[in-house]
Amino acid sequence: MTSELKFLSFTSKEFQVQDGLPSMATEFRDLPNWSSLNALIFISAINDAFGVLISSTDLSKSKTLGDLFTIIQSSK
Amino acid sequence: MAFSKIIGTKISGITTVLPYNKEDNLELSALNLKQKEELIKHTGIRFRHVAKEKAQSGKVLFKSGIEKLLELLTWDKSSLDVLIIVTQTAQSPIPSLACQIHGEMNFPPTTLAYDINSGCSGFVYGLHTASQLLVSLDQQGKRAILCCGDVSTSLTEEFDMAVKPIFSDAVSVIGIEGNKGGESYFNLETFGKGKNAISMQKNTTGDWMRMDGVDVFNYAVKYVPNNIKTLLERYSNENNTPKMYVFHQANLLINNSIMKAIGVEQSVAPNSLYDYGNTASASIPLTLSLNWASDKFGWGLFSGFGVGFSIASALVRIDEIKIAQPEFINI
Repeated sequence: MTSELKFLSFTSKEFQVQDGLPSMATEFRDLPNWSSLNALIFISAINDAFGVLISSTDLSKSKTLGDLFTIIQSSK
Repeated sequence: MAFSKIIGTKISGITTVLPYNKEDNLELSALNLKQKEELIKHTGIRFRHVAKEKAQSGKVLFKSGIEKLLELLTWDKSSLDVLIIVTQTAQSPIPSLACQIHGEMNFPPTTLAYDINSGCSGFVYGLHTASQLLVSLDQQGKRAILCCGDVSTSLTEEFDMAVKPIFSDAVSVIGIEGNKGGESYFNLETFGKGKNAISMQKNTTGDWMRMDGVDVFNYAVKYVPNNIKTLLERYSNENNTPKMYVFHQANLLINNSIMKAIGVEQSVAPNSLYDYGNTASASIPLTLSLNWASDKFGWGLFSGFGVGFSIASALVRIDEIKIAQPEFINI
């Protein structure tokens, strides 16, 4: 599985997406259940799974899952 | 300052007082049932103690805790050298809450009294300050009372779901005294670039505490584990390995991430989140009180972190301590 696919699969599971995988172009704030609490849960899960802390500045600058994936890849 | 060691003081007793009134996160009107269940699962917080009357409750709670501690330790007020109040909800900036309580409870002029403005790291900062003051005293008997806590619900806006479901009102009062065998080691740090992670912000309805949950998570998970690790690397050995780790009770997501990073099991790191929420600077002594058992006498690791962004950990020898179970008063 490519690292992109792993990240999308991970995101899909975290947000309990029912209708197929999201894409790198998906705007994460449009994901079902997105809220300030779920943002924190997502950031915590990314830290657990990838060992990368996404800052609130990085989060507010990002729109798509691709933006977050780029941050994770560049922080590793 | 980062590392500090204090020889010659010990914690002798702890009392904790909370408002009797409590609220249930399952009854939050701003969230649906699924959201409430997710909130409780991930923060670990179900109930919060909430003072009904905000303005004077902090002082009432502190005075009650002091009275109970004096009774528990059979200390006379005339024997007290130090009275420190750690709080961020004193309601009025002058005079200090410590001076108000000093006057109203008839402490003698020889008891120095002042406030420390500190939140979730405040218990450890207060312990350091009070212990250091005692060590500096040029006399035999040395006693301090350290009061920690807030009426945090006086700062929370009704429909702010990042703040209201988390914070709870409580105070703990700690007796500290001179003791030849007493040892405590500290790592005290400040990350002021994180000042906006928790701050006061005005809107049309008032001045409210706001919390950027992602920022708080980042500062805590990035810096707290290293603060603890470096403290233990410097001062811990086979004779003073902590038997119990008592963390500030922020929320379950943060606390579990810190514990995972330093490899601490839940069996030695109690939490009080479900029934008590985040009680700011009272959370460490409150959690210690709920989980103390005589077979755990020995060394404890305390770690407070939060608003500032401020981090303080302490490795403390705990022995012959009297701990009262939390009490509730109707305010």
